[in-house]
Amino acid sequence: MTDPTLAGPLQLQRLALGQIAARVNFLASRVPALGSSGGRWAGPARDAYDDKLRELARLAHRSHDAVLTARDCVDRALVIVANDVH
Amino acid sequence: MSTDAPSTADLVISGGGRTAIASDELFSHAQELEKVAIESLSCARQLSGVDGILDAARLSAANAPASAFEAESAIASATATLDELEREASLVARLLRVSADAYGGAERFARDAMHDLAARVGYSVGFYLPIIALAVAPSAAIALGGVVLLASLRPGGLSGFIGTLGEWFRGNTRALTDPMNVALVKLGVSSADDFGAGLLHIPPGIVQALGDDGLGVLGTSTTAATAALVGQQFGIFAETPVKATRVSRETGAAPPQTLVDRIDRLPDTGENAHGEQILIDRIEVAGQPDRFEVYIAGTVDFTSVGEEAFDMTSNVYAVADLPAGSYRATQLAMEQAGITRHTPVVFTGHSQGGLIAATLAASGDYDVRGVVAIGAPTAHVDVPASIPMIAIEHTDDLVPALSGMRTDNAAILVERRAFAPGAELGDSPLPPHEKSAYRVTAALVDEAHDDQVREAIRSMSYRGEATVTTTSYLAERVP
Repeated sequence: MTDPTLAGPLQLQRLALGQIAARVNFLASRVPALGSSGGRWAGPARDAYDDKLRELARLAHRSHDAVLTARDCVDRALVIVANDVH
Repeated sequence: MSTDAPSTADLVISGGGRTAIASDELFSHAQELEKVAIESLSCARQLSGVDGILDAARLSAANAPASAFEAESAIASATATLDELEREASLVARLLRVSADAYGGAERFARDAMHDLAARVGYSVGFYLPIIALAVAPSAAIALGGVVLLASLRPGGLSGFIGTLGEWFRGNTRALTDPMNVALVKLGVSSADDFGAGLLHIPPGIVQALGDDGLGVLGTSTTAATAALVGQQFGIFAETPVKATRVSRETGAAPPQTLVDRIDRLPDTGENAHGEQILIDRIEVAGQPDRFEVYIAGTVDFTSVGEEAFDMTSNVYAVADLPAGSYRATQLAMEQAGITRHTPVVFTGHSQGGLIAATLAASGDYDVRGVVAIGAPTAHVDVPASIPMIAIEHTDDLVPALSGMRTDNAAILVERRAFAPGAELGDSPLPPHEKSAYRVTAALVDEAHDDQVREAIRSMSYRGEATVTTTSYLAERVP
C-alpha cells in the first residue's frame, strides 16, 4: 500500500515536468533552425559545424524525450497512488 | 544579388571597438547558441529542483510504485543530457567567436601588410620619379604626341576624344565596380601621401612617424589638401562663401525607426522642387528635450565651378578635413533649425552627405547621438567611440574607397557586395553607389542579428508619440 501523502509531491513534479517539457521542446526546435538558414559560408568547416549542430539537436531531443518519459512515469505513479487511496 | 535573394548572411560586420570580423550569420549563430546554452542550464536547474521534491529514500519509505522510481531515473538522465547540451552549445559558440576573432586578426594582418607594401611602393615611385621621368620622357613624349595626333584626326577633334573616353568609362561600369579594383583604389589612395613624401625625399622614418600609424599628420586628408591647393592654382577647387535657404516646412512625418526609414528621408535632389540637399526633422516628444535628425544628400554637381554647394570642390575639401562648402552650408541650416551644441542630434548622409555627417560628428561641436553614413568616404574620419556610428559600404562601390583604408575601429562597418559577378548593372555609372542599392542593404542590416548593430539602430530610434516638423534647406555657393 502506497503512502497517500505521496500524491501531493507527485502532482507538483507533474506540473513542473510539463513546463520543462515545453521549454526543452522549444530548445529542440531552435537548434536545427540554425543549420537550415542557408548560410553562405561553405566547405569542410561548414560541414563540421553542421555535424555539430545535428549533435546538439540530438542532445536537445534526447533531453525532451527524457523529460516526457519522467512526466509519463509520474502520471502512472499518480494513477497507482490514487487507486490505492480508493 | 542577382543569383540569390539578398540575405543577412551576405553582411560582413566589423568595427564597433571589437577585433572580430564575421558575417552576420556567424555572429547570430554564436548568439543563438549562447541562448541555447543558457536555456539548457536553466532547464537543468529546474529539473534538479523537481528531483529534490522526492528522493529515493522518501519514495522507498512511502512504498512508492516502480514508475515513481523510473521517473527519478528519467529526470536524472534529462538533467545530465541538458548539462551536456549546455557545455557543447557554449563550446561551439565560443569557437564561432574565436574564429571571427581569428578571421579579424588575419584580415587586419593582411590589410596592414598590403598597406605597408603599397606605402613602400608609393614612396619608392615618388622618390625615384625624377629619374624615371628622365628615362621615359622621350618615349612618353612620342606616345603622347601620337595620342594627340590620332585624337585630332578623329571627327570632333580633341573634345570628341575626351567624349569617347567618357563613353568608355560609362561602358566599362563593370571594371569600375569590380571589388578587386575598388580594393586597389583604396590602397592607392592610402599610399598617395607616401608617394608625395617620396617625391619630396622626406626620410622614411619621419614619414612613418607622421603617417596614419604615427601622429596621423600625413594621410588621405593631406593628399586631398594638396589636391585642393594644386587645383586652386588652375582655377578649380576654389572654396567660396555659402548660404542655406529654407525652402519648405511641414509636419506629419513619422520619426525613423529603421535604417530604411532613414534612407527614405534622405533628400532626393533631382526630385525636390528646388534641389534641396539638407532636410532637418525636429522631433518633439512629451517630457523630453526636442531632438533633431539631419539628413544630408550626396554630391549633386560633379564639376567644381558654379553655385552648387554639394560639388567636387566640397568633396575634395571635406576629404581634406577643411571647411567644405557643403559642410558650412549644413552648419548654417542646422543653426537656422535651432540646433545648438547642446541639442541631441542624429546625422544620416549618403555619399558626400555621409562624409559631412561623420565630419560634423567628429567636430565635437554638437551633442551627437548617432551617425549613419551610407556609401560615404569616411574611412579617415575619427568619430569618437562614444557616438554610435553605422557605416554601410558596398565592396563594389568605388566612392567609399576614395577615403582610403579605415584607420579607426570605433564605427560599426557593415559591408556587402551589391551586385553579384555578371549581374545586370543598369545604366547608372556606379550602380552599387546608388541610394536604391544601399536601401536593399539597409533593409538587411535592419534585420541583422548582431547585438552591436541592433543596439546602435535601437539607440537611434524613437518610441512613443512624437510630433515631427520637417524643414528642407537649399545650400548654394555665393560667388
